[in-house]
Amino acid sequence: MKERETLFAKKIFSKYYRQRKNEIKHPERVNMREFGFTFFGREGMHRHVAFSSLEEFRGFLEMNSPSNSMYSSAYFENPENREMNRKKWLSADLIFDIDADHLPGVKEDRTTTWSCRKCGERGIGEKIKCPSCESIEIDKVKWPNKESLRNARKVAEKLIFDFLIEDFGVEEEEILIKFSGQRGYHIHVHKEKTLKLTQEERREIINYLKGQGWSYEKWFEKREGKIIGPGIYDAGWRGRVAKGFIRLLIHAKEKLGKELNFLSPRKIEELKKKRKEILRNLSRETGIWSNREINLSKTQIMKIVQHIIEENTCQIDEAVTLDIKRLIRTPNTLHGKTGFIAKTIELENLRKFEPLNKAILNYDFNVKIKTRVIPKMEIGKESFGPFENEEVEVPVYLALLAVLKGGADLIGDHRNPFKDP
Amino acid sequence: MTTRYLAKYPFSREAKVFLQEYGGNLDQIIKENPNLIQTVKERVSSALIGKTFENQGKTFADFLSYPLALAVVNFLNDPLLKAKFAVSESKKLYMTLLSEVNEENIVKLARETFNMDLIRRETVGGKGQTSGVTYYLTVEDYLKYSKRFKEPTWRLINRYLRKGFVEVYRRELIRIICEALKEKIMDKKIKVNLKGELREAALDLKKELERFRESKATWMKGRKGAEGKPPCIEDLMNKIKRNYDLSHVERLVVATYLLNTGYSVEETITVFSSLPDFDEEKTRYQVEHLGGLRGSKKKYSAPNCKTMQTYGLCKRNETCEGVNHPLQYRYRKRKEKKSR
Repeated sequence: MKERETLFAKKIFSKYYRQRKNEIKHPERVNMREFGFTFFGREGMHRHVAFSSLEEFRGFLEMNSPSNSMYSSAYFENPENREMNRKKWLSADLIFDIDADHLPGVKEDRTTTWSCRKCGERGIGEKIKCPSCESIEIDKVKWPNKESLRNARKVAEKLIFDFLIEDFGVEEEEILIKFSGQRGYHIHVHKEKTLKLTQEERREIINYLKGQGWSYEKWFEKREGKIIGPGIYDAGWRGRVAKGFIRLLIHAKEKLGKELNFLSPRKIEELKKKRKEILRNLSRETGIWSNREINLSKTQIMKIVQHIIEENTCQIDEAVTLDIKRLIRTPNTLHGKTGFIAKTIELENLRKFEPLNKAILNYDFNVKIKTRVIPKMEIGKESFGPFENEEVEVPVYLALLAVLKGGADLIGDHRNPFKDP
Repeated sequence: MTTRYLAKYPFSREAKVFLQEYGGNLDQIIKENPNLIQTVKERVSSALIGKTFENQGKTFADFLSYPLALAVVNFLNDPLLKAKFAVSESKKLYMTLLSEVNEENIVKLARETFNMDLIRRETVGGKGQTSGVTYYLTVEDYLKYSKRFKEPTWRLINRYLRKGFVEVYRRELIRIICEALKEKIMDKKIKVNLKGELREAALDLKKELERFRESKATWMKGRKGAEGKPPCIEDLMNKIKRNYDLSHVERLVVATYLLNTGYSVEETITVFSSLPDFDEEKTRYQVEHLGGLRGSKKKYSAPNCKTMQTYGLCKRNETCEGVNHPLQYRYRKRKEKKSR
């Protein structure tokens, strides 16, 4: 980013922190956290910072307008100490990172741009090598897109409602949800008992969320010629799988063969025909998975269960949950790569939360920019682009995003974007 | 509180309270219980050789031998001894709890001594079902004590988990309590100073410990294939070296790996001999089985990387590139060496 653009971004960040610093209400127990910051026009991260109060932290933000503001999920005795073992780790929030990048099956061909470092060619699309000079030295930029963010949000909902609340018994007020500021969501659990969980224990929670390690022998048994297994009233994964099987049969009528492509067409027909019986068999205290009427082998059951488990896992970034000393974005601060607010979200609002409307800086003026390549985007309830080497006037949030992502330069003087006193 | 209870559960909260109130000076206690020092020595020494300490669990001396043995162990402050003592006491407790007729005692230990959040629910048997008691433990407590149990049955996914509580059966609860005792002994980091007869006894035990260590130390030096072990196996071997208590699966991995990289059954058994709960007979049976000398006469291979991952044992790093089986690792390294 050039100097003018840097200054522009800094001015806007500064305005945000001046005006809205009181919306920053986290982290709780500020004095036990380590903070890390990056600043516009400066390299590297400034770590091992500590504050004695939220007020002091807000003052820092207002004074310095950092481009990124991170804090430790961990609580330390001496958070400002530069040496990890002298910080004295006490405990840590349990955090989950859901990132659109980790979700399967999302096509971002229309929201990714590339530029070739060799020949300077640019374009829209997911490319591995430059189409004109065939160089593989190309830079990729992923632009925010509704679809990916919606997928990430759905995983967040699943994680919170089905797993954290239902299985792990976490209370609503012990969960903090926030938009990550770029491509996903962060879920923080600060339940007293879970804070002390070690890495090894957190690993087992990840395995659970990812559906790893289920055992046929533990779930099923043969009794009087029947195979007895999970029923829909069972707790945990067992109930989820029984319900998942029923849902599959009801909703995927036509697609069932595609979903369970490891079964023979004849078996699929049989399952479809005997849907009602299966429903009845699984809606008991212990489910019946195979009997004289509906005959499924151990192998078939194993494959069905595995399929349903894979459909229902939580795709979280393991490394984040496992790392009990990681720095994570501070709620309601700005993201230096997008200019979006890492906004906290009330649980009841999660289902309809659209970050590209709710987490943008909506200052009421436009900015003239000269674009490189920017894909078509729906943001702030409007649709923009695609732009390729164009001079356009766009709302400030889009100008900021474009500049921070290196997709545009400013036109004209922006040393003082806020003309009002 | 009966003497019998204290002797059976000498680590319990009740025992701690009792000791505090009883106070008394150590010399006095030793004088009043002439066999006490001998019992303490036996208690520690049997832990060292991996035998469960047998006592009647009835008398006041039986009770007192525990806190004094613990004091000796903490005084010597040796990780191997401490681990062995923890395992031995935990095993002893397991036998005691299995035969405990008063179920209330089990619940009390879990709740009061180990601060577990435990719910107990009686189930009345319906048609064809037996009635009994089911326990529910908070998932945090469950994870804390079961994380080292690597059998599939302990995986959270194979559990009934609802609203933060995990269902466990009586026998499982007992195993969890024993694990809690083990951790309690292991985690304790207090400096103890001893005087008089007890100090002498401790120093005698120290000599015994040194002899024990010498006899086990030889195999570690200059073993074949020292280089070229994948990081997961390296990690487990280091744990053995540091006398960590390995889980069943961890042992299985080490045994199959070694047996497939040129170790004989005897050599493999020696590797395990420094584990705190080493039992030669059991180890031999298992290792021979894995080595294809027993049962189906099938020699078992080591688990692949994916399986290692699900066990949480994978320690993949950049040297593992292109490797998807721990046994593959050596060949890759050898090849790389040749090509260099």
